[in-house]
Amino acid sequence: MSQLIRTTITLPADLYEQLRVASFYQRKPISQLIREGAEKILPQKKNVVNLTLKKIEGKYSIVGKKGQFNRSQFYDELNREKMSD
Amino acid sequence: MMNLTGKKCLIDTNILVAYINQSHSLHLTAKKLFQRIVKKEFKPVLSSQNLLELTAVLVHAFKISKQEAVKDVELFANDPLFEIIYPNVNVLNRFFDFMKGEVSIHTVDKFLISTALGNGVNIIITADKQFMKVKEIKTILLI
Repeated sequence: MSQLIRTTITLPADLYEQLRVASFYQRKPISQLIREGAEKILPQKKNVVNLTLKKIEGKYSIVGKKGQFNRSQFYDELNREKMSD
Repeated sequence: MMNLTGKKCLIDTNILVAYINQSHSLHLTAKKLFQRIVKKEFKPVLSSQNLLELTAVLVHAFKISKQEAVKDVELFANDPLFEIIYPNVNVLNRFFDFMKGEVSIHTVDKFLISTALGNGVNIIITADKQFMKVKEIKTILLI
């Protein structure tokens, strides 16, 4: 777990009472129950990142030189195109 | 590969192309590198030049529509894993110094290295051995 931050939150009385009861029966502090709830509703950054990169991993199948990148050749060809009529 | 923990490393365009092209001879190597990126073993950096070049490769070599190409490049540009760096005045001055020097690499390679160094990045991960001629930047060659 990363560094813990102490903060103040405002809860409706009935929700607090439910949390207090859950805390007793689950033998967990209220702060832990709130953390677990927050983690459920927030996107899991690690999974999002994995999915983002997976979207493009091996997306194309280009064989030969066109499927590679050589910077000097790339810019030299571009220059030739620009210089020609 | 050397221990890169916590270090900023510029990922060259040829590695990005290898990652997205399953027919590239370095595709599996690039995949392994990206697995290390996802595990946050080092801090990957992309320059605006890399993103420009990747867009151009997709449009002109892969023959992808401009709209589709931009969507692909945005996946890299918007991923919070990557830091994007840009040329600034400091970069331009370094580039002019490089041009006056003796190192025989392509002008655009000099600009890329200047962008990296000008933004505090002194490691490049590339498939291009030309960068090994430049002593100011540590080159990690993926071959």
